[in-house]
Amino acid sequence: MEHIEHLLAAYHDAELPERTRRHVEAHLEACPRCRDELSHLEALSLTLAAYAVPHLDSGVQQFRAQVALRLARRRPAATTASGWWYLVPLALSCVLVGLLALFTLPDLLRVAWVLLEWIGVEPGALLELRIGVQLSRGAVAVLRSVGTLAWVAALYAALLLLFGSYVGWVSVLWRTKARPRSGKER
Amino acid sequence: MESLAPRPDHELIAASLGGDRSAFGALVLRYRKLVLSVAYRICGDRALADDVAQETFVRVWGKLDTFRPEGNWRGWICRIASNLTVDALRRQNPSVDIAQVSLAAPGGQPERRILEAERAEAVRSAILRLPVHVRIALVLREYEGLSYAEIAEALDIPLGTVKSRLSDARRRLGQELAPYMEE
Repeated sequence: MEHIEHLLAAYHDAELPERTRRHVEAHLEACPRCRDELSHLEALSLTLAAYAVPHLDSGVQQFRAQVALRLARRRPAATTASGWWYLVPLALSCVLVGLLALFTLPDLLRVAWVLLEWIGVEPGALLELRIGVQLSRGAVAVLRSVGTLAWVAALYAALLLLFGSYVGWVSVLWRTKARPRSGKER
Repeated sequence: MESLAPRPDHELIAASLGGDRSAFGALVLRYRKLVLSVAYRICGDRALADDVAQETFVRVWGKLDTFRPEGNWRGWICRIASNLTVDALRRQNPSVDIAQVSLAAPGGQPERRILEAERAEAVRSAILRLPVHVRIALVLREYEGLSYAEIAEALDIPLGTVKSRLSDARRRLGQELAPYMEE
């Protein structure tokens, strides 16, 4: 007969699924050795019950009062605003940096263009060489106007986003202060 | 004044989160025995257990906003209590108070009382000799009735580790307490 000692602790702790439990019970009917093992576990649990907590029921109100005293001494924990609100200013800042990079790209290119001309390299010729496109003076002027417009737009967007971040941050602080931990003492 | 006793845990927890200390006081009364019992059975020192139990509730109050509403409240409290008890044990050596064991022994004939007290002390000593992590798993299962899954969640360990720790604890205690066991 195959013994089932490995299942007895889980059986004793009522941790077995129904089917396995029935299998164990059927086995126990026929196996004195496993029955003895189970009796040993049950006897151990009974013995462990002797380790009682002294005076468990006394001093209840005193205990509560002492906890209250410790809480009163403790600075109320700042309630963190729930959810992702803290990420809003961060996300807005990332968007801001991204937009600035995008909008200033034409200006950066223009500066690079001027620098290249200054050191004697002809950017127009390079472009023609690499991509086979020759930029006319008109196209360069259009690019410059677009760059200027983009720069102004980026500036306004940056101001708007900064303001939005500020409002978001202030609203988070307000939400935090609106529900202080020590506010509803009854 | 409206009684807070019959309010379910989740309501008391939500009210406590809003700063309602009366609601938290009701939770303290409701779970005091559990916390005290866990702490005492791990450290074996009533005064230390009382201190740890108080600190547990202070810690619970401070961490309430990290408790997930769908989580296991008893397991969460037991986890905090057992961690704080281990910290307290690290800070100081547990003292043994035999008088308390005698007081805790059940009434009856004097000889019987002495035998019971002796057995209680033997159990207490045997449990306190267990490695602390094994001891915690045993206390949560044998005394607080937590399921294997709840213990695993409370101690943040795999289910298999819970089983092996319990098995280890029972094997050691079975050997040590054999003279006191009535089969």
